[in-house]
Amino acid sequence: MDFGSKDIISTLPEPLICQILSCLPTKEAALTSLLSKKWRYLFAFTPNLEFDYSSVYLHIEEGKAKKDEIHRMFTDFVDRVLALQANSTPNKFSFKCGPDVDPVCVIRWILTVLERGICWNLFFDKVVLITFR
Amino acid sequence: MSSNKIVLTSSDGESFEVEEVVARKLQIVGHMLEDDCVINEIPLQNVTGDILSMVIEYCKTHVDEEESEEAQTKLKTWDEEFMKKFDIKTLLQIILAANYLNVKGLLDLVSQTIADTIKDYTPEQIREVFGVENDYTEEEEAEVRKENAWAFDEADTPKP
Repeated sequence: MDFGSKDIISTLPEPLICQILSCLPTKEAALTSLLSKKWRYLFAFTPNLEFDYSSVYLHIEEGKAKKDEIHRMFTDFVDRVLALQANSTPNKFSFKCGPDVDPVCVIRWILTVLERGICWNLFFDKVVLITFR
Repeated sequence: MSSNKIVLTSSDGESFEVEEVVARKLQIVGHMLEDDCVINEIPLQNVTGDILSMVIEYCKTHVDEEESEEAQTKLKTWDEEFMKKFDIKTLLQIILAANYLNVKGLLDLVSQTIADTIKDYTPEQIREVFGVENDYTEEEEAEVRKENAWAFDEADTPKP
């Protein structure tokens, strides 16, 4: 690896970049898509995926239109990451959803990851937490 | 516990004599020792002496991983202090070495440390800190923000 070059992180092998990104919730990892073209889809290929909608559910006190917009952004995001993953099997899959998330979407995601052969655990709480390991 | 000594030699010719149990924490060495019973000196081509010495320091500390809660807490504190010693450039060299030498615990520890650093920055700050050149056009950048709107929506509003 050339440490003389200015960019000291993009030159890491991609599996190592994914290893680093998998230590972050998928939402935060996705911010790196903006760094450069090389990084655009890397966050979606991490071995651990973690989606968390509960913080939104707990904090949004705005109108229904804004809630719907944020819900749409969340479901689009999860759908897109799952599509990018294609048929690869992540090590860990975690959804944390408030009751606001459309159950049809949740069932779709569960079926998608199950098709990819992940053993799974389900936890239900006041906030629905679904973890696949 | 074996008291055999193994000499590990870095790419720049620095040699480190370590206990076999410590050397075996480097899985690459462990595999070599299994394949061939009598090796006393092992050349490691992809790692320099300064980085290898840090990996060995980690392995020496983690050689007896006791399961008691007290021992685990002590190790965790040591790990945190150990990581604080390094700047980001060194951390990136250590992650490459941990990957090459196959030291799983160190690989996980450095990955988490680098991730925690990234977490504190906006994409613009990450570019600056790591020297990443932005090769998107303005239109492409807008497109990336749109396709990951969920991630960028909150990132663009100040945190409470």
